[in-house]
Amino acid sequence: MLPMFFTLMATLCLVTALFGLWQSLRAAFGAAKLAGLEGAGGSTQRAALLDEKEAILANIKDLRFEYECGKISKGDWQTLDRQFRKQAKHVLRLLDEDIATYRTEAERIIQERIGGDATPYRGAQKPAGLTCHSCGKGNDADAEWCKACGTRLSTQACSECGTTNDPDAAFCKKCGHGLQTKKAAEKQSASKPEKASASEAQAEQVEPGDGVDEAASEASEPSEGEKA
Amino acid sequence: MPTVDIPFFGTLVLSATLVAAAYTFAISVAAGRGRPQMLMGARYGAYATFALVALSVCLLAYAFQTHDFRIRYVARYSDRSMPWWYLVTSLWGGQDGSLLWWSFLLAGWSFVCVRWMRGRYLELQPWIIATLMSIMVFFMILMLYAANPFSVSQGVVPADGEGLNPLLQNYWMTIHPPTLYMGFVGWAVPFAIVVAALVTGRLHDEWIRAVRRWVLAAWLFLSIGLVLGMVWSYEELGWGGYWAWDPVENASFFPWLAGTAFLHSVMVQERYGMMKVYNVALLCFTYFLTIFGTFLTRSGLIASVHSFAKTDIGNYFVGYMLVLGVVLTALIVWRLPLLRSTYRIQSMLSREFAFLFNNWILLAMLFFVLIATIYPMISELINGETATVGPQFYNTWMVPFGLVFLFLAGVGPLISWRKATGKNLRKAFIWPTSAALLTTALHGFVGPMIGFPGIVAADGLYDTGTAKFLAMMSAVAPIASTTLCAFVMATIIQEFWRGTAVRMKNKGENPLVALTQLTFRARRRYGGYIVHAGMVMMYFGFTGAAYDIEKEAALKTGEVMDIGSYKVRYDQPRMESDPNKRMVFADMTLMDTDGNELDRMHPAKFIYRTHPEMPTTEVFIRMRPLEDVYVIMSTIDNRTKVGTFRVVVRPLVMWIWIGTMFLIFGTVLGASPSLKEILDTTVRRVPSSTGAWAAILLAIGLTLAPNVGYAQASSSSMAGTVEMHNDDERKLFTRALCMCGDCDRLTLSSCGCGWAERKRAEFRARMATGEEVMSILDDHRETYGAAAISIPSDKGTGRAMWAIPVALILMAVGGLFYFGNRRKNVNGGDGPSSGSGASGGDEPEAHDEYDDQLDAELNKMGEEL
Repeated sequence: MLPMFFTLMATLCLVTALFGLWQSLRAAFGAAKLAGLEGAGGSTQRAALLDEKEAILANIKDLRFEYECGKISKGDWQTLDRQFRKQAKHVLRLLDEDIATYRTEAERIIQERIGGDATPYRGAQKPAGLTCHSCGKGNDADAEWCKACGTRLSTQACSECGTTNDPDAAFCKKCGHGLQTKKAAEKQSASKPEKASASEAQAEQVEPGDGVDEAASEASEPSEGEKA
Repeated sequence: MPTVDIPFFGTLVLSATLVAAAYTFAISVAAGRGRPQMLMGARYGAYATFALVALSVCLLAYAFQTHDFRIRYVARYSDRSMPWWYLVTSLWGGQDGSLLWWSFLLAGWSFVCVRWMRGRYLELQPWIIATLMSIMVFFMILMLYAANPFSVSQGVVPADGEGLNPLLQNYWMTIHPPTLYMGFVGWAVPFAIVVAALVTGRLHDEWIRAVRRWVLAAWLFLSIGLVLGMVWSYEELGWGGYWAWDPVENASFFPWLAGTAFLHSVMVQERYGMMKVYNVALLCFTYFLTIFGTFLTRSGLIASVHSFAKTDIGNYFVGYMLVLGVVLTALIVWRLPLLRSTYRIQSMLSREFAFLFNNWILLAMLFFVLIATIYPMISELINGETATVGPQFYNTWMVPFGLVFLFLAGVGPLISWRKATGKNLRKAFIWPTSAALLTTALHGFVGPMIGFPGIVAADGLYDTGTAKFLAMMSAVAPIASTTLCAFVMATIIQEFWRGTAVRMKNKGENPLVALTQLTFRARRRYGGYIVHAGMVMMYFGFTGAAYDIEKEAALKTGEVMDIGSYKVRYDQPRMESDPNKRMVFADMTLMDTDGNELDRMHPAKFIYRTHPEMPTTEVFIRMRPLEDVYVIMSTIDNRTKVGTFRVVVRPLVMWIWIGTMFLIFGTVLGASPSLKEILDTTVRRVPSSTGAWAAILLAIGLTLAPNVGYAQASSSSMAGTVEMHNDDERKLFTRALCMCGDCDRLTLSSCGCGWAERKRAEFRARMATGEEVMSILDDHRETYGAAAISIPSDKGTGRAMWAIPVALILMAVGGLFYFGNRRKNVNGGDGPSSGSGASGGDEPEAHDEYDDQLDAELNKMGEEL
């Protein structure tokens, strides 16, 4: 009976080991790209910040509890509480900066879908948009074509002589006046433009109400590759 | 599997494990060095390694079950008459198998850790896996080249095996080693995490949060393992004690002390970002001690009752420890700039300082035990002769250390973080101090009337100043201990009461609801207090040792002996047998002084078929909260039926085991995740719940374990019981060692061999002529060298052993002064700081919307304290 059990277990272990090694080799050297690992750095950074926030909040709570128990004098409690609050606010600010771009994106999408005006979220800096010179519709900063009339947006008119120039032109082909190219415009306006191009699918999940928690649970979700 | 050649296949699997672990190590390092796609490969590699180790364990277990005596290990540690469960436990019964078991547990911890890390700590992950795998590589090399459990015996295959050592064939031995190994190996995970943090330079609070539950789990298993070892030696070894400061016991005590220190000091970093270098170093050191302890145990360098065969695996361990030492030192030095803290201790009257002090004490204890354990080796190097450091020497020093440690457990929770101020301090101390004083008075005045005097007689080990001072400490130890126990217990009760009162006021709950809510919501805090309460109970139990009553007598059937408030009657001898052994019982009756029957007792001797030369003494223990009655049958004369018995009344021992239950419960409570965490993420749950469940099962096992234990004699075949007639004999026999050459570390008071018997007769004769105990001991030392006396001499070079604890105390005081002074030189820069780099400073900031968010979040946390 027992030898049989160990034989079975041994077989099971052997199969698992072979399967594990095969998967390992495939993952490490095979062609299969593992979704979820790229760009994961950002989310662990975020997870670390969230962890830190939790710890500071716990400290604040704990300190208040100690004060209520009469272990610490009021003055000391207030001083320490102030310090911890300052620290917590710093972390909250960092967290906000971290998701600001996603939030803007989410707000834009909501605005677009329902047409209402979602209150802009604090801390979010909207990247400057482009206005269509043909129909006047406001478009995204990175839009190439107007979403209302289809006019090519990035071909810019020279502010000096009105001549239409190529999108990548630095100077007007007619009068030689310096053109504000898209790149330069981006540099000036948006704080972190590269993050604005994050996938829409991810941004769509973020709701304006309690974005912090949403993003938190997202950050701690197992990666796709793991599930596979 | 009859056609498979198990020895060959087993060795093949071990080699495959080595390759898999090395491969996983390599791709983990690659993943850590900027090739993230390798990470998934590394994770699968870790799983595969675990499966391979499990496979070799299954193979060995199969070989045991099918009595494959071609394998040397199977032939040496099992025989055909053994029941199946001992065939399973034989897996860790000897050197080679226990190393395999060790690797299996390591792989298991690694597996759980890797599973737990899914989607988190992605930067640390590769290095964590790499570190774990490097340990695995070491153990695989060790097994393949020095201790292969699958190696075959030379010559003819024996028809039957030699059988497992009878001492290991009992209930406690089935669970003590695996638990202790779990505790030892468990430190590998926190170690791997801290190494990963060092390598990546992510040294802010992230790794601390990552290691927390792993540290608690490892600490819990180590604690349970230690206590199980105590239970085993109490119930099985038959000398009436639970701790003998044997090198192997000490080896498992080292990481416990260092780990306990870490558990406390890390709290300071969590809050104030202080002691970063110290915490990193301490955790690395704890792991190092687990390896060092294993090395001490296995290398056979130091004489111990736990005898493992002497092999050359010691060299491998030395090599590994050297590599570890160099790599870890280099890593820490390299990362020093990142480990600077911005906060300094503000006041000597603060919890930070209490933690620091507690760490000094723990480390002082650690270094004292460490040095005392390896002192025989040091002495051999310096003097050319080994010395012996016996339990008496340890006890003398460790009692004062332990009492200071207990005192700090009471003070810590009472004083606040940062700075304790006069009024709050007075308020906090008033009740505990009153309770302590009341206990002192009670113990001092009432104690002597009921047989528990506060101050006991203690003789100095030698006639020197230090020894006299220490003897004085030992004399007052009982009353000091009960006083401190009352003090600490009162602080804990006060803590619970204060918290409950706050909840009752704030939430309007009734006391019972408030207490329950409090305990289960602020689990870390109150779990910690429960652990402290457990420790207090254990101390209380240790205190009982000062009041042991011991008596020996030869009785005819029907005769009665008096001991303490009991009478013991020897009724009759009885023989039984099973396929494995013959058993000789003595039926006895325990009565109170009026002759009313209290209990039936039956101590025994077991004679195993495979080891007839090694009869085991099965002790009978009657456990009660107030005192245990412990009966050992020394001999029974076949013809006259006269039996020699030793009866010991040991007060309060049960409190040690009760305290352990509290310790387990408190740790599990402190480490358990909240309901929210469980519902939120399934991944986080893994380590703590595994640890928790294992611990709970063990706790249940401990509780259900029969109150009556059968025990066996010392692991040295010669250990037994010796009749001692008076205090002088006791003093002499407990200090002089048996020097026949076969009885390691056995004193004349416990050695039953012929040489010892002759020596005792000689000493008795000399004492009868009026010779002083000291002069006989000096003579014994001169004849057989310093190793023949269990306490290092307080003269000449032997004095070094006495200087070390004193030096440690001086260093500790110096260190505290250093910190105290540094505090005065610091102005400003005292804000709490952490990874985010927020500047401290007291000036209030303008109120903004973040304040509202903060308040909202704090409210949402609400109940969680």
